Amino acid sequence: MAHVLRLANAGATVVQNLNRVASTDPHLMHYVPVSPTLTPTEYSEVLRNGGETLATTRRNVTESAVIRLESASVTAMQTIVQAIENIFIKAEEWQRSGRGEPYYIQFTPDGYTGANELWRSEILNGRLELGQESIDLYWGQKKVEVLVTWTRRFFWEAATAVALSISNTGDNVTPVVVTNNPINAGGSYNYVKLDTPGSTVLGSIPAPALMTIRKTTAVTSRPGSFYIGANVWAPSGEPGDFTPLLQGESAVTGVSTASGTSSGGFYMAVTVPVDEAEITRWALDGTSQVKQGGGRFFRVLARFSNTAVPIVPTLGLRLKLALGTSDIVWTGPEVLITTDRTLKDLGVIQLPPANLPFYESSTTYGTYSLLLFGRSLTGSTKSLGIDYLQLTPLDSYRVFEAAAFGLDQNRMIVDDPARNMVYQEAIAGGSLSNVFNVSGSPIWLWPGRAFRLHFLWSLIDGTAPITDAVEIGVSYRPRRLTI
Amino acid sequence: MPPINLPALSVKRYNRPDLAGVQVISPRLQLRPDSYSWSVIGGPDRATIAVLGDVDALGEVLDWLRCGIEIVDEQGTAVWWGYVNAVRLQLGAVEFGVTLENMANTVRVAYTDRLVGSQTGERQQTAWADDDASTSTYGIKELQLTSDVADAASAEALRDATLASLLYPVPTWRVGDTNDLSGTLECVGWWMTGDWRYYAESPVTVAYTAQGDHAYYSAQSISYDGIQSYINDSASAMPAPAKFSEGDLLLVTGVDRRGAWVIQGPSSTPAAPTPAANTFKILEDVSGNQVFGLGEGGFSQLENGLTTVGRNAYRAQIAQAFTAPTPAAKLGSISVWVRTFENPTSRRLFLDLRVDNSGNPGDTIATGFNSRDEYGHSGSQEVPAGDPSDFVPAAPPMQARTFRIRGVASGVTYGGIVYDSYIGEEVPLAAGSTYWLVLSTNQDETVSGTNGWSTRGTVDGSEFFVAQIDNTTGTYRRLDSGGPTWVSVTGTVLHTVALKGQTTKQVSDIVESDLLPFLAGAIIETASGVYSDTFREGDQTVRTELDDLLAMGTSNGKRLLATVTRERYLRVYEEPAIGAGPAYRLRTDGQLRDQLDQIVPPQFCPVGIWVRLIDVIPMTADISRIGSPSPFFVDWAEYSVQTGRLRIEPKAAPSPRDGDRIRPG
Repeated sequence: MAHVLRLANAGATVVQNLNRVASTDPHLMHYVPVSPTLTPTEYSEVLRNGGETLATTRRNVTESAVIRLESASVTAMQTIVQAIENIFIKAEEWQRSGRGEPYYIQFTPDGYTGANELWRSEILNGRLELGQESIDLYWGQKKVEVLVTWTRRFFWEAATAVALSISNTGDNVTPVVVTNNPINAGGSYNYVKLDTPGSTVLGSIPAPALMTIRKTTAVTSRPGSFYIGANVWAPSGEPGDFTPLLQGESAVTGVSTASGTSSGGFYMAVTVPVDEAEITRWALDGTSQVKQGGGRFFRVLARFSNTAVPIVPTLGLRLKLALGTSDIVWTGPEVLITTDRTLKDLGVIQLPPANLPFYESSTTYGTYSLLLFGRSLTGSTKSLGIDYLQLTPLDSYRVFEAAAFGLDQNRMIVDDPARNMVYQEAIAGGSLSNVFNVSGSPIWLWPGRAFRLHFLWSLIDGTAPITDAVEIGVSYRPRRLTI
Repeated sequence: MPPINLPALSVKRYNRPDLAGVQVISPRLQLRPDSYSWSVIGGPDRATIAVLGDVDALGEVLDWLRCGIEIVDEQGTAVWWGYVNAVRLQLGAVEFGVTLENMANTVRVAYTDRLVGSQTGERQQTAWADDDASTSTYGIKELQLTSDVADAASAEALRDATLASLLYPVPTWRVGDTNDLSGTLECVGWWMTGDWRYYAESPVTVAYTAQGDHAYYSAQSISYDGIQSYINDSASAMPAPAKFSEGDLLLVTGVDRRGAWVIQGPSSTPAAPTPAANTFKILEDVSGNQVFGLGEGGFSQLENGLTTVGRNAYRAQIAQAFTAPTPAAKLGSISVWVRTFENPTSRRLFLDLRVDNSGNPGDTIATGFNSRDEYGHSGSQEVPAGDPSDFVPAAPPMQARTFRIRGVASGVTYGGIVYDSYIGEEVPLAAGSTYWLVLSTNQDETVSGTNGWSTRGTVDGSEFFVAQIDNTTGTYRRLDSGGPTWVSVTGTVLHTVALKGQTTKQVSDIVESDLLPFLAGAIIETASGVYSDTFREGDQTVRTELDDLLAMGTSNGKRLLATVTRERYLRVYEEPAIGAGPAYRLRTDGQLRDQLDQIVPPQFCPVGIWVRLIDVIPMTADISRIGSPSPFFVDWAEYSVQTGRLRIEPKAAPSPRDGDRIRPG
């Protein structure tokens, strides 16, 4: 089998072979995939040796292939030339205006037999040059060498998307039901995971997750805002070793109150004073939270009980981290509670807030507490029911916010960050539309690493019932820099 | 130490005008923040966002003016927020843009109303003229023009013409050297919407100015007969000789509907038709409860609704209570409606502010006075020549006299009087508490020392003051010479107590009255403890007013800072003292680190923090004779997305003399 090099469209339909598959196709004379160049961003100082690399980015690749046209007629040769040029001009139009469709260079080296053997890279532009003597000697023979040059993305990706066998109760379940409740609720959790090496992420560089969020159950109010955090870089390599949940009732102070609408059946009733003071605090587990936190960042999403204890704006809440119970080592910004939305973003914490040798497994860590401070801005004390705090991992973080109507029953959100597309679609297919805005990063899937994706969401009416459920599907296209 | 990676930022757009929902941005548009900045005054300052896309998609962003914008990092943290103030598109060689900068959809003109040929006139303003379509789209954006040449009609013409030309965002064109296809969103923080409105405010007062049945009883009932040189009743109802003589009592009935009142003639017999001889004076009614005034220079009128102060044993002093408003304020000035009678040559009127003592005036906490010179005349109106019955006062002759009130302190001499109680330079009024305004006179303007105090409340039958009251409602107090008991009297002494508002309360009031719906409200972290007049004429924008109020700082001598939160609340706080809060550090690598030596993500663009320089100043440098370069306070910061660099601008380094107190400039 020879090298396979061809131009294809978004539907993976081959538009033009660049190696000889049929008798009308050109011969591939020379092609070597080019690796992307590196662009590091560095801090260096006149007065110090070396420097620090803040970021390293890779640039798009310009490369060439030499092909020889051997056709039965000049017209047939010109047909191929024009077909290649036409692909490039359509690729440029897609990049410029989004009209048409993307085009790809597809490549499989000779003898490659691995899974997903066909790799592609999106073409940004290109051109074709006839060889120096092509009009002279070889034209009449209808054997003409041409140089095809294109600029493509810096990476290769599998031509076919790979569905991941994710679960939250056991592998090989797709799509996975997740509930809006961080604990086991009837066999499902609010996360999906890929824990087992048997179903790992392929490729050499991270690939964005292609995700579907399906709403199959009836809705009284549609899901409107989804918050999705990825846990990939737990120091143990096993995301399940990190415990993201802090139940309200496990806080140190407050009145644990039974509630059938709260996660775990309880919430913690606390009083918010007029002058800012500690409302309550949680002791963080030294292993499953401090060590496995690994100095990473976590977004604290809090669910409040707004039925038994209505949330009365305006409140100011602030997170602090303490060594022990009271030695404050970090103070976060105050977050205002100005609406009665049940799910509230309390900001980002670094856990623990220090650079420590987390990768040395024998190390033990200090005892930290997460403190919740608060004040009422209305001049009188207020009651607040804390259902839970979720330490949402931020190895990747993505937010969908409905511009209007939310996610209705029998519809799904399709998130395709590789194509910069987020849209809604009927689960049965068709009826595409878009009412969701997306922010944050793509959910990056790292080759060789397990992951957990944690989901929480609010409904359009501002509530976040723990019984609400959606189904999650994750697929991806493995990525490589070289082939 | 591992470095922190540069973040990838995304942009969220909110709809206009209510900012209620996030809007879907076409995938054909790529929004890439170039840079953004923060300031300690206002918070999010400016942001520049590059827009990439084809020409059709770029056209869409022209309609994004005044839409809300949030820049969000990869971890979902909003790092900047504000609104689109201008859009510039580079379409080939032509740069086309629209901006809200010069737009105005609500316009008025200030002008001077003067007669043609006159050099002076009165300042006037036209009414606001607005455009509903524009204000409902972008919100109210006001513009006040000033014209030195316009009159009322031409000012309105100028207003209307200006509105017509500026009511929509003003387009700009420019043919430049570049040839590109790109766009730029120029965004500013919500603080800048303070320039969209002008702020006017009346003085904050506690006042009682009802006239009651205050009226003049003129020659309709009683008149001076210039021929006969005596006073008679115009209805000729009096028996012959139908005139008043010394010691006569005049019974007034059926005029003011409140019963019978008595006045008596002067001590001298009005035998001759001379003003001096015919002058009637102010007297009380028989119950000591009411006063009638007679104009001098001829018997022209009777006037009720008055009370004397310091004339005789009755009303040596009078007192009126008022309740201080909520929240606490400080006293600005006090006005009472008062005039002199005849021409006191050696007396002045004192107005004391006293606390309440079981329903009566207690200790004096502040005082002010008017000298006789401030009244300019004897107090009563001159009756014009001719038929006295033609004289109808154009306005109540009683005028509001404003007293500059000072807190009094032990051992302090003010107005020639030594006070023995201490309050301080400013006079705070406790919210909801009762205070008393006490009017009295002293005998001698030149008196000083304790004698000045002791002579307060002395009486003089020929030189005294008159205050206006509404005798139909309320009660005031009088202190007779015999004292010491205050006597309750029916009526209310007309008064206006003007208050100075705390500057932070004024900030809160301004935000809630003039910035909505752009801002949701104000959160005052630190009450300033500084008070100022609340009156505003309306010639300055809200932002200018807020800048001025914040610049006054706090009673601790520190600056007031303000930031607009993501929820669009204006948070006002005192500049932290050196050493307060996290100890940030800056090394020569240009990276900001917190107290745990963690790199502060530069995209957070921190301001309002103290930063110490570490290993920056060479150890050989002698800094003993220069201002301390460290720590410095970060007033402004800008994050460049392209370079990942944070540019920091400190305020002037603190001087050892004043610590971190405010300094000019």
